[in-house]
Amino acid sequence: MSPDSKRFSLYFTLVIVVSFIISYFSNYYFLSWIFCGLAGYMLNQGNLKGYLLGFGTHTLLWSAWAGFQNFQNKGLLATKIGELFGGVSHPQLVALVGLIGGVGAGLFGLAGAAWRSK
Amino acid sequence: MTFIFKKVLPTLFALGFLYLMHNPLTFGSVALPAIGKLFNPFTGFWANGEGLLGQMETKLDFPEIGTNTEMYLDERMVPHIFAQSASDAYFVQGYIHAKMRLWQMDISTRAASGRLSEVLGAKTLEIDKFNRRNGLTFAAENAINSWKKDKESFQYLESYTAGVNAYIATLTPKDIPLEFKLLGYEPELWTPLKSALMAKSMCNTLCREEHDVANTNLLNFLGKADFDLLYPEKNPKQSPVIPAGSQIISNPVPIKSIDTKPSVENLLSYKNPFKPDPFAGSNNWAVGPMKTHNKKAILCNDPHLNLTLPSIWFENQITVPKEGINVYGISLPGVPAVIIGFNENIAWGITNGEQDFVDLYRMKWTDDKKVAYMLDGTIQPVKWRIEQIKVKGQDDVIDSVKYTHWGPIVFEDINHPAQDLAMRWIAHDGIDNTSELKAFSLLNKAKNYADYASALQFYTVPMQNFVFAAKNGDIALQTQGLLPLKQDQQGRFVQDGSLSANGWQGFIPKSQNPQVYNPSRGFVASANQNSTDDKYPYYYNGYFDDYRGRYLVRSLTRLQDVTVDSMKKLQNDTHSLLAEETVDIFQKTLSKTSLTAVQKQWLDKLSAWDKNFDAQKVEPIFCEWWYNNFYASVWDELNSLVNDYDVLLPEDWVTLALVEKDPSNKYFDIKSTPDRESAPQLIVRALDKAIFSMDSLTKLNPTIDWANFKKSNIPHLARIPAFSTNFLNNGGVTEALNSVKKANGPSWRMIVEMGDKPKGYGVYPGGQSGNPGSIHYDDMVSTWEQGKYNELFFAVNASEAKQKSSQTYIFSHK
Repeated sequence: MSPDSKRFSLYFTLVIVVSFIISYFSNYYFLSWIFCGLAGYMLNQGNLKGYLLGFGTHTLLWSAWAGFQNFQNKGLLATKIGELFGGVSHPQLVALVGLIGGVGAGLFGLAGAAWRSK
Repeated sequence: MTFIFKKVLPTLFALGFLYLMHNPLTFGSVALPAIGKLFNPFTGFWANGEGLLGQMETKLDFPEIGTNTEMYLDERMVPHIFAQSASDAYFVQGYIHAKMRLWQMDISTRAASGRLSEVLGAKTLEIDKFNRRNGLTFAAENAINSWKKDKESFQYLESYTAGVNAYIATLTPKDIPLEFKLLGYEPELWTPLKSALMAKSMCNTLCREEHDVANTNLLNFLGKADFDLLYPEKNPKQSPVIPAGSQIISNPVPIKSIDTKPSVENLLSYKNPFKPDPFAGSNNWAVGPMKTHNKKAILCNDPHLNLTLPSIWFENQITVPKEGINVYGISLPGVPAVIIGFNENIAWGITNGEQDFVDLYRMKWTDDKKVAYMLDGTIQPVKWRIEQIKVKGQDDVIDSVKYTHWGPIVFEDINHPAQDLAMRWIAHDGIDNTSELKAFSLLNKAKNYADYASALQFYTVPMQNFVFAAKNGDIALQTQGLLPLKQDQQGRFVQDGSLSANGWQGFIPKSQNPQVYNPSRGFVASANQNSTDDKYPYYYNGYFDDYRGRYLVRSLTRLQDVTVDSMKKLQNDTHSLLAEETVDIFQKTLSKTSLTAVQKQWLDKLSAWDKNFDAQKVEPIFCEWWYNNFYASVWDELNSLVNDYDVLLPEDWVTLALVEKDPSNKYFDIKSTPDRESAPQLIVRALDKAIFSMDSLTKLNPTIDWANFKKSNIPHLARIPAFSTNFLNNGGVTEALNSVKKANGPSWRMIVEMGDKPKGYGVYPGGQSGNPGSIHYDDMVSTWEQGKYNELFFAVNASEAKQKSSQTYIFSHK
C-alpha cells in the first residue's frame, strides 16, 4: 500500500470514529460534515480524495447508524416515514439517508481539500 | 478569478447544500420539512424508533418531588404510580403524560386557543379565527380563576404542570416527539392554563352545539303549526335517563315569564362554519346486585368521541395510600387525575348530558361603528379582547373579538348588521366554589354514594350523566353540572339581546338536577337520551339521542343474571332500533301495495335480518340506502334551504312517526312532480333506488359488506395517513350501542364488576404511546376492533406492580 493510501485509510477510520462521537453527543448532525472539511484540508490529497473521504465515511456511517436503529425498530417507523415520502421502502430509506450524509460530508471534504489544493 | 473558482466556490457549494438540507423547502404546492434535520440518523426521525425495551430501572431526581415515588410500566405501558403524597403522584402523572403524549397535548391546546397557524401557517388561519371567537382561552382563564380558589386541588394542577415541564426539560433534539420534527417546531413549557384549555376543549366537543339559528329559520320558514309538528322536543316513546317517577321535587325554584319568541322574522344569514360533531355520544349503565349473576354491582361505560391516533385517553393507576387514593382508569393527557375509572370501593363513568348550553342573542348596535349596543335602554360599550394570531411565514394577523353582556360576538354580517349575534355559553363562566379538578380528585377517592354525590357538587361543565356503582351494591346516576334555569321554550331561538331579562335566570340547584339512586328496576342507564320525563319541573332543551337510550333500557330490562360477558356483548351490540322500526313501519305501510318479485325478495331478506349492523352483512347497506333515499325525498321542501341557510332536517323518529300516523301528509308530496305523492309511493321509490344501487354495487364489488362499505378508520391527529389506521374491519352504526361511525365511536370501553376486589376490563382504540415509532402506538386497536377487552391490572401494592412490570422509574427528591 502506498503511503498516500495508508494515510487515506487512517484518515478514513479516524473520520468515522470522530464523526460518530461528534454526531452522537452534539445534537447537530452537520458538525461532522464541517469536520470533514477540516479533514479534507489536512489530508492534502486533492479535491477528489477530499470528496471521497467525506462521502465514503458518511455514506457508511449514516446508513449504518440508520440501519442499526431501523433493525432495532424492525422497520416500523421507517416504513411509515417512507410511506409519507411517496412509498419508499425502509431499506431504500436507509440507503437514501446514507447518500444524503455522504453527499453533505463529501462536499465539505471537497471544499476543505480545495483550500489546500494548488 | 481562478481563486474564487477553485477555492471559494466549493465552499459555497457545500454551504448551499447544507442550507438546502437544513431548511424546509417548498416546491409549488409541495412543502417538504428540513430534510437534513428530519432524516439524519442522530437527531432525525430514526431516533424516535423504539426498540424492544428490556427490564429497565430509571432513577430520576427532581426538586419538586417530596418523597420517593415509584412508577411501574406494565406490558401495555400502563403506569402504576405509587406515591406518598397526591402532589408527588400528580407530578409523576404529568411526567408520564408528557413522555407518552407531548405532541398531542401541544397540538390540542394550540387548536383550542387558536394558535395552530403559528406552527402550521396560513392554511389554518380561518380555524384559528373561529376558535378565537369561540373564546376558549377566555373560558380557560375564567376557569383558572375559580379553580385557584380551591388551594388543594389547584396545587395538584401545579404539581402536574411541574411534572410535564420536568419531562420537557430533559428533551434533547433527538428525543423530541416525531411530529414536532416533521412539522418543524419545538415543544414549549406547559402551564395550568393549558390544562384548563384541555378541559374547555372538551366543553367545545360536548356542549357547544346550538340550534338557535336553525330553529329560528325553520320557524320563520314553516310557520308555528308546521314547526311544532316537525320539530317536537320530546319523543313520547323515549325512556329517559331518570326513570319516570323516581325523582320528586317538591320545591322548584320559581321562573320569571319572558317573551321567548324569536327576535327576527326573516331568515338569518349566519352559518356556523365549524359544527361540533353531531355524533358525539356515549353509553353508560350500572346493574345492581339483584340482576347480576355474582350478586355484585356491574358498571359499564363507553364514551363515543372522534377516534384519533394518538388516542384521546391514557390509562393509569394512581396510588397514594396515605391520602386514601388508589384509582385505576383513563385520564386526559394534559389534565391531572382519572376521569373515568374505579377504585376499591366505587366505579364511575360518564356520558354527555346533551342539554343546550349555548344561546345566541341578536345585538342592537347604537350605530354603524358597532362598538356600543343597547341593553335595557342604556348604551353599553363592547369590551375588546385583542387577538393577535402569529402565522408561520407571514405577518401576524389581528382579529380582535368584541365581548358583550352576553359573551363574544360570534357573527357579524356587513349586509345585515341587525343580525349580528352574541353568544352566551356556559363554558365561558368561571363559577365560585366549583372546580372540575376538585370534583375528579374527590371522585377518585370516593368510598360510597355520599362521597360520589358530594364530589359532584363541585362539578360544573360540560353537564354529564355520571353513573355510579359501589362495593356495597349501590348504583346511581346523576346528570350533574350547571343547568341554566329557563322558561319553557327559552333558548330554542335567537333572542333579543337588548333586554337583559332574556338571559338565563340562574341555574337549577344541583340537588334538584336529574338523579336516581338504587331504582326498583335494578339498573340505571344513559345513552344521551332526554334526562327526565314530563314531571320534571324545569324546562331544558337539547340534542338528545332517540334510539340508543330506548334500546339500552329495553335490553337491560330483559336481561337477568347479568355477567361481565353479557355486558361485553351488550357494549358490542350492533343492533339498530332505527333499522328495526324503519323496516317494520315501511312493511306495514306497504301492506296494501302490490310489489314486484324483486321488491318482495328484498323485503323478505330485510324481515329475516336481525337488524344487527355486523361487519360481514350486506343488509345494513341496503337498509341505509332505503331509509336515506326515502328521508331525502320526504324533506325536499327543506333541502332547498340547506345550501343557503342554517337549517336542520326533522329527526328520524319524527319522520317515521309521520309515516305511521299520517301517510298522506303534505310533506310526502314531492314538489317537483305534478302528482300528489304519499308515504307508500315514496317508500317504494326509495326501495327501487336501493335495489338499483345495490345491484350496481355488487356488480362492481361482489364481496362488498358493511365494514367495507362504511370504511371506518382512525386518523392521526394531523391527518397523516401513514400514522393512521386506515381501515377497521368491524360493524356498528350511529344508532347501535356499538356506535362505530366513520371515524367516531367508543373511545374507551370499560366494564367493572365490584366486589372485594374490583375486576376491571377495558380497551381503547389506540395505544399508550403517542409515538408512531413505538409498538405501543396502536397495539390495542385490533383488540378493540374485535370487541375484545384487556383485563385491567389493578395492582394492590407496589411490589405486585413491580412483579408484572418491565420498566421501573424511581423519582426522588433532589
